[in-house]
Amino acid sequence: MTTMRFFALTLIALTQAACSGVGGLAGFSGKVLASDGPEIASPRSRIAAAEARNAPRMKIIIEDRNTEGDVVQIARRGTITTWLSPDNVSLTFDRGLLVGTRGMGRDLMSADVAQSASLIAARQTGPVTRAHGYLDGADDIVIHSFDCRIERRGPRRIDFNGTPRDTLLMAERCKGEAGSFMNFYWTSARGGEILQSRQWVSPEIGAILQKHLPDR
Amino acid sequence: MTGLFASAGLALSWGASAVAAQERPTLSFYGVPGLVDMPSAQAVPDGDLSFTVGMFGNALRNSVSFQFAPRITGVFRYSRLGDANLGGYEDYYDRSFDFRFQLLNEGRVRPAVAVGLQDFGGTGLYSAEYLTATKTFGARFRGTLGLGWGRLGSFGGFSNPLSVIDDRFETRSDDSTLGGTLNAGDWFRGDAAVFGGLEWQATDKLSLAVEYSSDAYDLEEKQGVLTHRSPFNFGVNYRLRPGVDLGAYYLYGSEIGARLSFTLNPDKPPLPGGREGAPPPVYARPGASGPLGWSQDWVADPATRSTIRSDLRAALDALGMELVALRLNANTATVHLRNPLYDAEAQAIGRAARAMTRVMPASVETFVIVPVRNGVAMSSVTLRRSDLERFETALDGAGQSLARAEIADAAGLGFSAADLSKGVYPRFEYGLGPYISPSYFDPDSPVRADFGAQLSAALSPAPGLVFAGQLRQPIFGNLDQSDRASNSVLPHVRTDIVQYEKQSELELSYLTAEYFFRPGRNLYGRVTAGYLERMYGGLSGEILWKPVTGPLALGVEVNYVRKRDFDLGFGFQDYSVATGHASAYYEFADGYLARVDAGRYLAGDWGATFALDREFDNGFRVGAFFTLTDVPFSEFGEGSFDKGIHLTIPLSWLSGEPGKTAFDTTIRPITRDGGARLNVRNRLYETVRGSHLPDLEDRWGKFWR
Repeated sequence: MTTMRFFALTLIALTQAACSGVGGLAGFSGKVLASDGPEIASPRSRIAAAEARNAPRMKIIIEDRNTEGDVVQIARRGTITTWLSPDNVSLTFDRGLLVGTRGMGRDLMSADVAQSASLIAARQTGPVTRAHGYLDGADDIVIHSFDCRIERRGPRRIDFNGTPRDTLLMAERCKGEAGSFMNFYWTSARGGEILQSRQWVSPEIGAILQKHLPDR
Repeated sequence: MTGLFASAGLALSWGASAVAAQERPTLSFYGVPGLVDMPSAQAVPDGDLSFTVGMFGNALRNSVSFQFAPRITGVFRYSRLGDANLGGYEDYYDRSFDFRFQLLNEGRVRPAVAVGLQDFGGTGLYSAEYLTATKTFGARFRGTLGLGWGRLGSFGGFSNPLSVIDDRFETRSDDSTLGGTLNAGDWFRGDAAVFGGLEWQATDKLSLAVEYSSDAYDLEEKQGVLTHRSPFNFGVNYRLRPGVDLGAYYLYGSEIGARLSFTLNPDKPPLPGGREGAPPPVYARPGASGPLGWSQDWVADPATRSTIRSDLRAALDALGMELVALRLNANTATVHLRNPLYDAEAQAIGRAARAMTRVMPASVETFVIVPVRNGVAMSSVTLRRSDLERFETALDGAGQSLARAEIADAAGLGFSAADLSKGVYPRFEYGLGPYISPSYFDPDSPVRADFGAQLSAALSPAPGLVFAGQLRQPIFGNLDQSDRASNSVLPHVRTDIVQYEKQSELELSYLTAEYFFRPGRNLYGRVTAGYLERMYGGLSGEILWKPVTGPLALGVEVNYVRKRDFDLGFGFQDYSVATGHASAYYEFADGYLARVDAGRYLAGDWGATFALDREFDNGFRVGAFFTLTDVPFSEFGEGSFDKGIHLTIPLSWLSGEPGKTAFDTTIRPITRDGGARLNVRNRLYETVRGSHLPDLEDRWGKFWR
C-alpha cells in the first residue's frame, strides 16, 4: 500500500467520525417513503439496449495496462461516435480519431484532431498540429499541443476478424511538452475508413489499440 | 468481456502527483525548512502542507506547516517535553504557532533570505526569532547562515546588534504568561547568536547535513532532560518517496533523534480529473428538422410529457441525482435538480444537461438547470442545447460552454405542485454507522476519543422543511475519563465538556425542525428550532444576502438558546442567552476567503471573529481565525483569547471519487468560554456558495467530466 493511500484511508476513517453534517453517515443509509424510480440505467443495461439494436462494437486494448475488452457504440451524432464499456468507461471518436475518454483515470477530456483527420482521410503525408485537453488538480482544462507528421506507410494486409483485409497504413508521429507518441491508423484500401488503430491517450494511460468487430 | 480500464487508474496516477517534489526543502525538527534543529531560508512551494513528527531525547515535536502564500508560512506545533516537571506537569505539553516570511528568493548570486517568528504567541517555551540566509553552491551543496534571538540566541550569544537602534533591544523578559498573547514586546530582543550549517545532496534521495546550533537548551538542562555537550548536530535525510522524508540525527553531543515528514500540495490531488465512471454523451436530436423547424406536436400530448418526465427522472437517478421538478414547454425545459453526489456543481450540471439531450424532444432548445439544496433554488444555469452539441468535443469546450452559459439568481423560477416530480416529497432518509469523536490537548492525555454508533434520520415533508435528528451511543473510549474541571470565571458555555462526557450515555446530538426559504432576490433564509447542537437548544434564524455572481456576502444570524442538561437528553439547565452575529464574507479571486463575524457570543460577551482561509478550487481548505471580545485576557484564562486553525480535506480529493463528504476539523490550542459561538447546522453561506460564482466557474472544467 502506498503512503498516500494509507494516508487517504486513515483520513477516510477519521472523516466518518469527525465531520459533521453530510459526512456523518457511514455504514448503511437509505431512503424510504419516496417511491423508487424505474430501473437504473446501468452501463450494462445501456449496452444491452445498444446490442439489441445491433449497434457496432469494437475491441479495445490498453497497452500499458495489459487489459482488453469490448465497447459498444451508444451514441452517434454526425461524425462523432461514443462507445461504452461494461465498467462504465467511454471513448469518443470523431471520424475515427480519438477525441475523448471518460472514466479511465487520467482522461483525455478533449482534442482538436481536425488537421490529422483531413490528412489521414486524404491519405497524404504532411505536417499537422493537434491539441489535447486534460483536467488538472484545480479542475481546470490544461491544453497541450503537439507537432505531428502524418506519413503514408504503404499497403498492409491485416487479419481482420479472421479474414485478410488490404489496408493502407497511416502513421502520425507527434512531439509536444506533454510527451511524444506515435499513432497508427489502418485504413481500408477501398473505402478509406479506419478499421483499426493505435492512438495515444495521455502520459498516464499510454496508448489504446482499437479494432472494429464484425456485425452480429 | 473483461473489466476494461476503470480500476487501473489508481496505481498509475498516485505517483504523478508529486512532480517537482525534489525542489522541496528538507525540514527541521520544528517542521520548517532547515538543517537539523536550525532554520534555513529555502522557499517552500506555494500551498505545500507538511506534517512533521520529530523526536530526540525527551522532546517530541509535532508540526503542521502550511505555505499560506508564496512568501508566507504558518506553523502550528504541539510538543511534549517528557519528565520536564514544568508548570506542575511531569510531562510538559506545549502548543505554539510560528510565522515565517520569505524576504528574498534565491537568485543566481543572491541567497534566499527568510525571517521567522517561532512560538510567537504561546507560553514561550520555544520562543525565538531568526533571520536566515541560504545559498546553493553547484548542484549539491547548500550553505546556511543565520542570526537568532530568544532561544536561538542562547548559545554563544552576544549583545544584540539591534541595540544600535534602541537600548531596549538589549534585554528580553523571561516572563511566562497565560500564553496566547503576542509577545511582540520581546521580539528580536535580548542576546543574539549566530547559527549555520552545510547540506550535501549526496544523491537524489539522500542528503547529509552538519550544523552549528545557537540553542543552548538551557531550560532542558536545568530540568535535567538533556545534556548539551556540543553545538554541532549531524543529520541524514532520506526521501522515501516524493513527499515523504525520513531523517536520522545526532544532536548536541548526547542525543540521537529521528524525524518523519509528510508533505502534500492541495493543488495536486492524487488523481486529478477523478476516477468516476463515464457521463452520458450528448445525444443527437431525434428526427429531422422540417421547414417550420422541429415538430412541436408533442407539447399537447400528455402521454409524451409524462414519458419525458419519467425518463428524465430515471436518467438523473442513474447519475446519482434527483429530479425535483420539471417545467416544460415547446422550447424550454427547466429542471430543478437535487445533487447529493457531485462536489463540483458544474459536473452535476454538465451531466444533467447531457441526460436532457437524451430525453427532451428536438424542439427544446433551452435547458435551465436550477440546483436545489434543502428544497431551495440556489441559482439557475441556462444552457443552449445547440451549444452542448457544438462544444462536446471542442478543445476548449469547457471554456466555451461557460462563456455561453447564463448564470443567474433563481428567485423567480418557482414551480407549481404539478411540476413537482413524483415521490420527491415526502422524503425520508436515515443512516446508521460508526463515529469517532476525538478530543485533543488534554495535558493528562493529549488525544482522547470515543468510538460508537450513530443513527441519523431526516424527514422532509415539503420543499424547504426538514425534521432531522441524530442519536449517538458511545461503545468504548476515554472521553469520560478526563478529570479537567472547568476553572473558568465566565459562564461555563463550553468548558463543561467533561461533565457532558461523564454524564451522558445515549446522546441526542441534535433534533431540529428547519425551514429554508428565499425571502427575495439575492436573499436566503433559515429558521431552526429544537436541540440545535450538543450543548444548546433553542431558536436560530438567519438571513443571507449573496448575489449569484458576486464575491461579497452579508448575513445576520440571531439565536436564543438555553444550555442543555449534561445527560444530553431532552432537559435544559437554567443558563440561557441571546446570541447572534452580523457576518461579512468576501471571496478573493486568487483563492482566499475572508470572513468577519461581529456580535454577541455564548457567554454574553461582545466582539468579533476574524478568519482567513486559503481555498483551493478542488475544495481543499486551510485557514486560521481568532476572536477578540470584551472579556479581558485575564478573565479568559489560558490562551488569552479564542483562536485556532481550520482544515478541510474533501474526501473526493483523496479518493478521486465524487462526493460531498469532507474531513473537516477545527483545531483550537485550547477551548475556553470567551468568544464561543453556537454550532448550528446548515448555516447558509456554505450551503449557497457552491452553486454561485466564483465556485461554480472555478470547477467548470468538470462540466464535461
